[in-house]
Amino acid sequence: MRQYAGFGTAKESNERYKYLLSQGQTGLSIAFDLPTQMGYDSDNPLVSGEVGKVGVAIDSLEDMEVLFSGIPLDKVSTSMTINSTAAILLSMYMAIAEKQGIPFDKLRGTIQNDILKEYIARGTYIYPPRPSMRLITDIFEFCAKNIPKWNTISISGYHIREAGSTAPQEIAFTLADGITYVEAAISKGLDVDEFAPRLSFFFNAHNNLLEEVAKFRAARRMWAKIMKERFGAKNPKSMMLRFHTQTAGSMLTAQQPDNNIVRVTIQALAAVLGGTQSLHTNSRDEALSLPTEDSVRIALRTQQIIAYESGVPDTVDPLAGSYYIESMTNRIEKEAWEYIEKIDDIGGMIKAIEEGYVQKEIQDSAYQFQKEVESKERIIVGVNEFKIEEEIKPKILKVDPEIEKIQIERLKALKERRDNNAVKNALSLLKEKAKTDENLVPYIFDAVKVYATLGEISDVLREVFGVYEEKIFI
Amino acid sequence: MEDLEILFEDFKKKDRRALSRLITLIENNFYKIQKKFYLLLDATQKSYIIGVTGAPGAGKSSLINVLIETFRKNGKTVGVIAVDPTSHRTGGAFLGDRIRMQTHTLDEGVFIRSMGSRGGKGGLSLYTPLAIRLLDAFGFDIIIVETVGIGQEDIEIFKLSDTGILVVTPESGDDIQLIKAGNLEEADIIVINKADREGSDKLYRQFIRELGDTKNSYGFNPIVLKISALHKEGISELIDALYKHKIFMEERHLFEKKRKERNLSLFYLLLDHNIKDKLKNAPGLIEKIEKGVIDPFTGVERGIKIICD
Amino acid sequence: MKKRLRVLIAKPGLDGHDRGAKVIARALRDAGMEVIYTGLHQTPEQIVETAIQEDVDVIGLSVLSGAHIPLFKRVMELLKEKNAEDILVFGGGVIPEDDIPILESFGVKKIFTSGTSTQEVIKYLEEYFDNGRS
Repeated sequence: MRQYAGFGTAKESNERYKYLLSQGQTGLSIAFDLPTQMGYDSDNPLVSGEVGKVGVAIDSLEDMEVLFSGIPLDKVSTSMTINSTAAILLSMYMAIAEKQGIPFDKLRGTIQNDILKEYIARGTYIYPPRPSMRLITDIFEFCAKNIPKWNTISISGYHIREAGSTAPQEIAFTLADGITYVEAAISKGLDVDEFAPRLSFFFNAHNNLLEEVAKFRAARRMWAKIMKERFGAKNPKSMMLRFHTQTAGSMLTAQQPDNNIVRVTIQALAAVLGGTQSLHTNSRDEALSLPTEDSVRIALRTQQIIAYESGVPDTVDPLAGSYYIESMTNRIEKEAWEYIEKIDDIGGMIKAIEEGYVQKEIQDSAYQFQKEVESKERIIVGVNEFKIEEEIKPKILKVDPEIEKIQIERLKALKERRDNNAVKNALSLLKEKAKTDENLVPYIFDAVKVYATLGEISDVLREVFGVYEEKIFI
Repeated sequence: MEDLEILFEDFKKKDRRALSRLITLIENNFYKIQKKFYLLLDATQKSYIIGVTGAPGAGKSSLINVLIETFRKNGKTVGVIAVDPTSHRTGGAFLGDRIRMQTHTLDEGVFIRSMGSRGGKGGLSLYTPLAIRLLDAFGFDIIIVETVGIGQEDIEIFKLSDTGILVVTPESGDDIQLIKAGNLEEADIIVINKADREGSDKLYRQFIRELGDTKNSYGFNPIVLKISALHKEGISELIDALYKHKIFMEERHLFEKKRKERNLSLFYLLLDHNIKDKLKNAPGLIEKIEKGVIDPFTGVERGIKIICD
Repeated sequence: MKKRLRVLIAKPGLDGHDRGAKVIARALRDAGMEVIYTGLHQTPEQIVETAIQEDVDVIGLSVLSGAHIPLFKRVMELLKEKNAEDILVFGGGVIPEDDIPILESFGVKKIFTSGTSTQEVIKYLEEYFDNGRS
């Protein structure tokens, strides 16, 4: 059970984490605000209005220290949903461990660190594909040597599905991304069995329970084949598809929100029957705003009831052998291989993204879905059928607009307090090294420790790497 | 319906909103302003017009984006018209070219306008020549027109522009025979974009071979280039090629020739429009011709009589 | 004759969720409108300048990150500054009911909440402009 949480200031998030840990949650999952995800400080005029809205605002190590205050890093496992700025956030986590006197080999957790899906479906990219891949493989290399228990990437299909793809597309494009990352790591000189056991995946749990179970099974079979046959992995751990799942947020409705509790239960069951390693269940107010405390608790209880009362997790792959499940698994696997072959023909995932092939497939599926809803071929309860007149207005969480002001003040104070010379030196050294092939993580780590801000570090890399320009295909 | 006088005054004062409004008026209500148009238009046609065409996905918009950047660095103002196909079935259009150029939106020296082809031929809207004239009169140094050109008939763009660029990609190898009879004959510069891909050298040699010393309608032997708009490679060679073409045309007074042809072409276009508009007053005649009650030959004699009255 | 509407679909701010915006863009195109789509990460300044250069009749803003209030406000302020208040502005995304009156007070004419069909949006626009308010 690992519930995604984080909003506003580090202090409030720290309190929410302590609450969840006391309520029985076993791992932390951090949500960062958009400016943090996109390499901007809270005082940047470009991001006005976005600070602290979808997650916690982290501008420097100082904010991170508040976020983890009173939380011993050797006692928790932390998952950070961070991509373009993953190296920076990971370095901050390491800096805190150092301050707490915890050796790096005791740290457990994950960073999402999957840039390819950003270009395809999520949008929080900064640099173009090739330098982004360089940063990712730098992290692989650094962690393999120094933070062996850390999951260095969460190759994601969740967002691809949320963007409108079908189930076969979700796993095909995700596994194709995986292939690209493995290829990149190998060309950097890493041995496949060295880093592959630490690769993890992140999938979507959608409404059609049986199709979803089949989808997860197909993905597991495919990845094992890919690792063994395509990459020659020898370690059985390299062939395992370890994955986290989140229930499909896009399928929750603003109309009759309590119905969403039922939807999430079905989606969660699909994930558990499908064999997921960890699970996030969405709250019922998903389509309205960030969840209230009550809604979050219900979502967690949903998992606990499934875990302890339903008997479902007690058997591995309980639906195996069912005629329907097995033939559905085969069907999805076949369709997914076709997509992967097409991508190979184009010349790999990066080229396929540059061509817009992947994005177009997803948009076509999304449009198709919408047409089905509007023609009532596909029923969404409460939205195009079974509607009611009176809408109960549930309590909605509002994010305090003062947060932006608070962060701006903190940044100002920080910049006065810190050793600005040390920052200047660390940044110029980073800039220099970014032009070479050297692993950048140690240099980012050093910059973070002298309290260079996230924005400052990201800007240095923008200068050297350039920025990615979106391609539109409709 | 806004006050045309004020609109024209604002236009002369270089108000971009007025320019934008006038382009819309041309597209929707041309006849209402036709009589006044001459007040706006600069007869001397001072802008340098570059036409960019090629199949969807060739990278035209990315290329134009890089050209805008280069021209701006040299202090030139740029007006851009990006034409996308209008659906015959629905009448709608998705105008997505400007996304690649969005970084220039806030630049005072750049103006970008998207147009649907609205039934026009050759990947252009009927109103594109008029919109170009407006940008010219507004005072842009350079005007870039982007259209989609895959068919053999899509050579309008080359007449409309001073220099015509055809953009292809290394995958176009098979289509060479198709484009040969149309675009290829008239292009001044052929750009193989995405040159970092496999097949670009082969295609380059193929073009050189096929074209040989062939000269287009104006006597220019097309220049073939390999570039990568994405990686900004080969751009200075493209600028050189533009320059070469410009010198060639100027030395032979061919730009003047082209402009004369364009004036005439625009005249015929307007004539066609005006005639059709006048004949709206004779729906009876039109219906009779449609139903075959009157044959087209007799019909045209009668039509001329109606127009001349 | 029905006027051919020009619509700008825009994604202001850092929000990267564009599924809805793209679906609406496509649907409006299929309904006979000329749709200009700006892509992600647009500032209010870019959106308004684009709306002016393209002389659009309508701007549709899509925000799912919760930052709708400051972003919509800024767009409306800029439209006023540039004398372009006649452009109809509508919005969509993740916008709580409580915030709708606030957005309307800025001048946003309509907010389409989650679950709205594309047909509803098309109908709204067609009715608005057929009322002779172009």
